[in-house]
Amino acid sequence: MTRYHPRPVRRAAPLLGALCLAGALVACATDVWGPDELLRGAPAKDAATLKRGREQYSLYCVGCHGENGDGAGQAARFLDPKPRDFRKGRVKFAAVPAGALPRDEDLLTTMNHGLDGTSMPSWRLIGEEDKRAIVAYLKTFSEVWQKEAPGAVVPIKADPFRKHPERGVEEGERVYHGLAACSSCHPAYVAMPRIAEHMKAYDIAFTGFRADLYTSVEKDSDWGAPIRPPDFLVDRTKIAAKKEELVRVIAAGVGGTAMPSWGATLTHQQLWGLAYYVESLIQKRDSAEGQAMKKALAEQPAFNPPPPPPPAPEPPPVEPPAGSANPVTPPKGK
Amino acid sequence: MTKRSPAVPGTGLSILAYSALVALSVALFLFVGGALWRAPREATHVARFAVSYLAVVPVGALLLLAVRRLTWSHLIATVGSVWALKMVITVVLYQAFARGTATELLSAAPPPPSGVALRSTEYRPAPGPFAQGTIHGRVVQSGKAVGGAIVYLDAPGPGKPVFPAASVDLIVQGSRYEKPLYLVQGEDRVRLVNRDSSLHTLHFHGAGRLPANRPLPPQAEPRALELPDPGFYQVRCDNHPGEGAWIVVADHPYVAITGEEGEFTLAAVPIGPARVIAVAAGHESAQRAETRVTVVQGGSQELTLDLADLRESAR
Repeated sequence: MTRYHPRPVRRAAPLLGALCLAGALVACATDVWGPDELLRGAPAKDAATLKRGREQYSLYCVGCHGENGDGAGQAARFLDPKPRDFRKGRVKFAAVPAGALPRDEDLLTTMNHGLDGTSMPSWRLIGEEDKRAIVAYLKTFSEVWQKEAPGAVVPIKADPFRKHPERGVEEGERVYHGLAACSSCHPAYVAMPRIAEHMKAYDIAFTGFRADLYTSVEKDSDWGAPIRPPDFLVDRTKIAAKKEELVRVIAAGVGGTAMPSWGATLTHQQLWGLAYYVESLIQKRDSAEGQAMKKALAEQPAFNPPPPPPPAPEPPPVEPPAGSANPVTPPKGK
Repeated sequence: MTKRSPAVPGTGLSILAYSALVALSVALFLFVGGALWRAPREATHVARFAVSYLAVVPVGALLLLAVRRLTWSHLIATVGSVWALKMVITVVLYQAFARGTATELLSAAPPPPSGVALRSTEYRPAPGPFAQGTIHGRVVQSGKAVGGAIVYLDAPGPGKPVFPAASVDLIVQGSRYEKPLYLVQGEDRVRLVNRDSSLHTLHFHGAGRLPANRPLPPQAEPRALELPDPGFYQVRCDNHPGEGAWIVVADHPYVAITGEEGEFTLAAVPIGPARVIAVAAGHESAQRAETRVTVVQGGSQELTLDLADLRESAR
């Protein structure tokens, strides 16, 4: 083997340096000023934010949410539930009522928290400016974000049960199985006689229980696939597990799903009671106590329903006031 | 001693052979799987990356073998340095020429999903007398007159005052709305009434800003409903398939309900182009028709609106 004498590198240094400089210049010259955004008249600050958002989106989000924000990224076919379609301008979880345009803060909350039980991770480690830039960018996927104003945050009053949490759980059990009839979609969590008691407390006539009272009922959704409401003893809730988070989800509802907005229907004691009760169920998830509850409910004795109430008299026919628009009869003069 | 051509330090290859190896690797990168600048945006470029890097190993070994300098140290130095140099070159080329790089996403916002809700601009009555005409007509479906259909204008100009506020009750009983089609105007007060002992929900469907999905607790007190923006909406219950109704929300007084013969009259309509819409509904389906007409002062326009089944509203 020929002995090798290494050459000095002095002659190669200028060439290598020139190559590195050329590479750096070419890399920096791409799209510094956001010419597309400037052509559309957006100010340079917004253009820089959108450019940054586009870059970050393409790094972290495009694989699932797609180039067009339509939730059809390359990974989407393998995911269930599917990634959000941002073109609709609606999301499931927000502090505004379901059906209203979410705020930037709502989108950031979901990005920071992630959605448990789905493929949406927590992006807490991304810098705050980058996350805001992503939010600004994904709002370009539909003009809905420019045409509408975000909804108003559902007001939540102070927790009335913070000194007596056990009362909150009791109130929640009553509301859950009585007034709000949550077991119409979610499972029931107490025995049937107790449910009948709760209904009676709210003067709700008993007309029977639905089939499979202790399992969830799959519901249609606006997201292209049916959704099964969570069984709190079994399923992970996506974004809320503590009562402070649960009360917001209950009040605002879950957008595009069968979970309605209870904020304008229940009192704040009832809302917080539900939050306490659901939290108490979530705390039993995957525990021996929770499994014992399920077992006991499944093996409860047959329920003897109370006698049906006498039929209510027919309400008088509604006479529309003068000038009413309600088409009971075709109004004259309109 | 045989004069050898200058070697690249550590590799055992001449500058010429070394450069050829780098050029080959770059060429493979540019052309494997198609020219880089013609590759589709969704291309992953896995093949060109893999081939351009991996080919350096056997080709470099062959070149070293040809000059009888094939040793592990020469091979590792050759492959490592070619890879490093090639990476710098191809990163620059990729950035410059690839159409679908991760930082080159350019997407026009797709059109928002279409729906059946028709938006009116905010209506204001005319401050004083205004030029006006009349629109008469009939609403039919398959040649038969349709009574109880609602006819209304979309976004009329300033005209007559709105009607006084009235009460409209959306009553659910027996998992069915009392009526399949409701008309709500201006400042009407809408109440939700659930006479059943089961939970109903008022889930609006349509495009645009919709009211919240409102729950109707069993036999609870009537609840007020905030009006959505003007439009034509379907409400369905998430707990009772088949339970639903349709609601026309109008912020102006140019609405009419057809009589038994399908006839209607819209009086004191501001002159100019007008878009006339007719809707009729059963509990689970709706029909719709629209036409355009130009209203002339003092004149009377005669229309026939032939209803067609409406596809389910956008979800």
